[in-house]
Amino acid sequence: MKRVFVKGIKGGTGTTSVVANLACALRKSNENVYVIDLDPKGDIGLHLGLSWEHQLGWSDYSSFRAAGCQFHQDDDGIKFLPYGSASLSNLNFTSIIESCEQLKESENAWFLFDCPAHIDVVDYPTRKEDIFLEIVNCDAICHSFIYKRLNALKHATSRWQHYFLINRFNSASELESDLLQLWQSELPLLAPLYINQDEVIKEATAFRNVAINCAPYSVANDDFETLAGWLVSRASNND
Amino acid sequence: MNDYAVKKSTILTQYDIDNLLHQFGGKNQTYIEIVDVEKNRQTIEKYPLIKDIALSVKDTQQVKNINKSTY
Repeated sequence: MKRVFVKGIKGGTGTTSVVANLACALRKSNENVYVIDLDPKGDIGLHLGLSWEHQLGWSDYSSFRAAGCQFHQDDDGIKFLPYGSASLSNLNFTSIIESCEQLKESENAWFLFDCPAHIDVVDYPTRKEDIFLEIVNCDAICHSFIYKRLNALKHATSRWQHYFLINRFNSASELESDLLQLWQSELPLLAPLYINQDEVIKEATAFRNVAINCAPYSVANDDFETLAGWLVSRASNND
Repeated sequence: MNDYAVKKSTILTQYDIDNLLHQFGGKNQTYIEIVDVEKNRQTIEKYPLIKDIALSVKDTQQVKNINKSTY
């Protein structure tokens, strides 16, 4: 199984939309894709066509087996498990991550975990083959968080493949262009691609869909296809 | 009179890249990275917060070097 953890370096970086669009891009390449929502405020279901009134998810069940009935499948074939309303506290995010191995067809499947920003990277049960994408925006706050993260990573005891992925890059902004150039030449662990700001990503949610379905010729579509391709190459390096 | 034997273009050709790779590239490196150090320095100077962080990172590295040399 290929596990990708996607987490914002702070709140509001656009993590959930990255997860939804990435899942769709991987699925269009005939990959078996599972999305697990670990973020109580993420609401991945809205991106994948689930009713806005739907409240149940894994946090409302006493065991992973019982929560299995909350797996949904969207029109593209992405299987996803919403977080839910946290009415029970029997399951925690680490047990959900580890229990995913019990799923049928999990061996060659992609598991994308939409992780909340408030839980630290080191608290996840990661393995050295896992890919951790930390979503950043091109601004000074993220610049500060990145260097704090780099300091923290020096002391991490477990290993994984960590990358910073720029989301919502606005090429018309002088500050963002300056930071991009600086990061690309000086920042370790920066993913060699970035996601451009594109109105279609926001619009797609209003149409109960993801950007790459709503606008297949958009910049967003190209960006997410490139991201999916890069992840496939990273994962094949592990094999 | 123009010396046409001297290339004046600022665009790098494959020949230039091969030369740079030969001069600076490592044994297993199939690419070179060109960094505009001066532009980066100007960017760091331009924004006070970025400058603070850059100075702080540099200080930490210097402290580390001092510790290393005492062993």
